[in-house]
Amino acid sequence: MESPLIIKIDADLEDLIPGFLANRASDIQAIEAALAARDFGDLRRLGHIMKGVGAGYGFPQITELGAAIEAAALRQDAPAIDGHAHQLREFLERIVIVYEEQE
Amino acid sequence: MTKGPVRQGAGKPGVLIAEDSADAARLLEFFLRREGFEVHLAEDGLKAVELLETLDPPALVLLDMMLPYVDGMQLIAQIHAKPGWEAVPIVMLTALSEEQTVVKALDAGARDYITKPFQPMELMARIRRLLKEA
Repeated sequence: MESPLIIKIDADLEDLIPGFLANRASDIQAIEAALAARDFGDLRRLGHIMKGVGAGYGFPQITELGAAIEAAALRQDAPAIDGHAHQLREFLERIVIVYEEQE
Repeated sequence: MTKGPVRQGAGKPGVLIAEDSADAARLLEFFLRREGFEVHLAEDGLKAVELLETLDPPALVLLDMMLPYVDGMQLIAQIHAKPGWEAVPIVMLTALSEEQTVVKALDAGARDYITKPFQPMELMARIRRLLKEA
């Protein structure tokens, strides 16, 4: 098993983070379902949303994965999307959140 | 989220957000409330049009570009055409970053165009500056 990945997040966002991460876990299921249906429009939408919100919550990695999923959906590249979904799952499994007071 | 006819309360400046991503809306709502705004949220373009009919003109409108039913560009036109709302500053907040889209929105009357992913503190600073200038 890979080592934990420490992510430092603004303590102000502490109440919002669990819901945000739960939604990303739901995204993985939605991506798998859309891949099975070869619904690249929905895959593009899912990637677009992840891209738009990840960094704002303090997770630039989620923004990057969302952008990669959106781009792969435009190319209709299912294997690439599957790989990015696995990366997202691994990321969510590894992260340990540390809340820090910001100045 | 507000329901039915709404009015700005207790002297707080209002802000109308049209945003279909629940995560983005939650983040915006949190920071804007902390800045002292009364937040009115529309999760699609149609709901934004409804709020346009029922709200007093807010201090600011934050618009996503890609919205279900009525998109951001259509909303800019409707906001500017609504009596009392003509001078309400509109800030676009969208993941669409193509130059053509940015130019189109600014030419249509948007006061600022911010691309997602946004940094909340930077966005609040831009809003403070914009409202100071208004």
